[in-house]
Amino acid sequence: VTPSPPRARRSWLGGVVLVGVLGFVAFMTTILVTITIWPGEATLTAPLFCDDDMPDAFVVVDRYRIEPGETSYDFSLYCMGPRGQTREIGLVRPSIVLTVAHGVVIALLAVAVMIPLRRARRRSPTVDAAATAEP
Amino acid sequence: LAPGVTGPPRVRIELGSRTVRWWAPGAGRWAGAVAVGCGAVALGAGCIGTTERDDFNAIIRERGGGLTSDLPLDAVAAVADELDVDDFEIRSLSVSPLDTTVVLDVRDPAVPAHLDRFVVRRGSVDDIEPIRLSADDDLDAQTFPVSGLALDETEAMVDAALADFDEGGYVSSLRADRQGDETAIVLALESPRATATATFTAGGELVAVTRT
Repeated sequence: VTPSPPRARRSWLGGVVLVGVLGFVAFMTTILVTITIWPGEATLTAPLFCDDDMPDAFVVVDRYRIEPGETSYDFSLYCMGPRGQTREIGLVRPSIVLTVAHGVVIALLAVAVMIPLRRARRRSPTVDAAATAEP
Repeated sequence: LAPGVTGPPRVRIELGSRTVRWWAPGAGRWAGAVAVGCGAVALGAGCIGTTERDDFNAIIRERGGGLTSDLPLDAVAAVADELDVDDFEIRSLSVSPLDTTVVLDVRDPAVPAHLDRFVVRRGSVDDIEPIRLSADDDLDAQTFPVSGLALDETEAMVDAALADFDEGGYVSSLRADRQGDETAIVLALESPRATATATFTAGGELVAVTRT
């Protein structure tokens, strides 16, 4: 067995760490957005979970008064058809899909920010060299 | 606001008896407005894009109640699967579309003297309980094969029942059982101003819509 070159191993480890960080950030974003601020975001995943005969999606909120001054909220995605027939999807599967989607959006945003920064960094030594070369 | 302090209002944050920080002197009115705004957003957040359960149920009723053939047929298939038979006898079948629950009183194919209550939720058997029988119960007369019910005609039955009822009416439940010598399917109808029952034969033909 040939041991992996140190550089390849480092880049492999770096990739795993990057994916882990991206996954964590996407997961936290999903908790913050989908559960805390905008639970209705789960309706965006309806085309994946709702059949053609139940195309209308709702995120239904149930409020439970556990104790005086303490309220619990349950969110669940439902699909509904024209006769009012419903199917409960829940929030776990939509949240998994949204976590992946958030991860993709965050990765694209990071790439969109990093590419101009790298270009600017590459250009700057050339500009400096040209400036020092002038008499 | 600190008592006895003149000038523009200030916001003071305290932990216990100790003052941590005076914040935004001279800009208290803006700070107050921002605090109220943030509070309103925080209270409103968490509900964006959601539907309250009562509103959701109202939408179901507006669309006719949500009773389709899938609900009883899936329940019958789930019980048949549980009993490992193709057909079985029941004493009654009740469908509550709002909470997608079907309850069947089933005669045990292995022990015909036993009757069990199967509760099916969302297409899977959720609970099975034995039913106590009295000395007057005659299961041979009270039970009938579930395959004899035209459950695949549920949508047509709902349409026929609502056509003979008030505008804005909906079906709140379905029940099938023996009425005399005949098996009947009865739909419970409700509207804001009336209730009624629509009685059908086991084959799905409308017998009568009766206001209650």
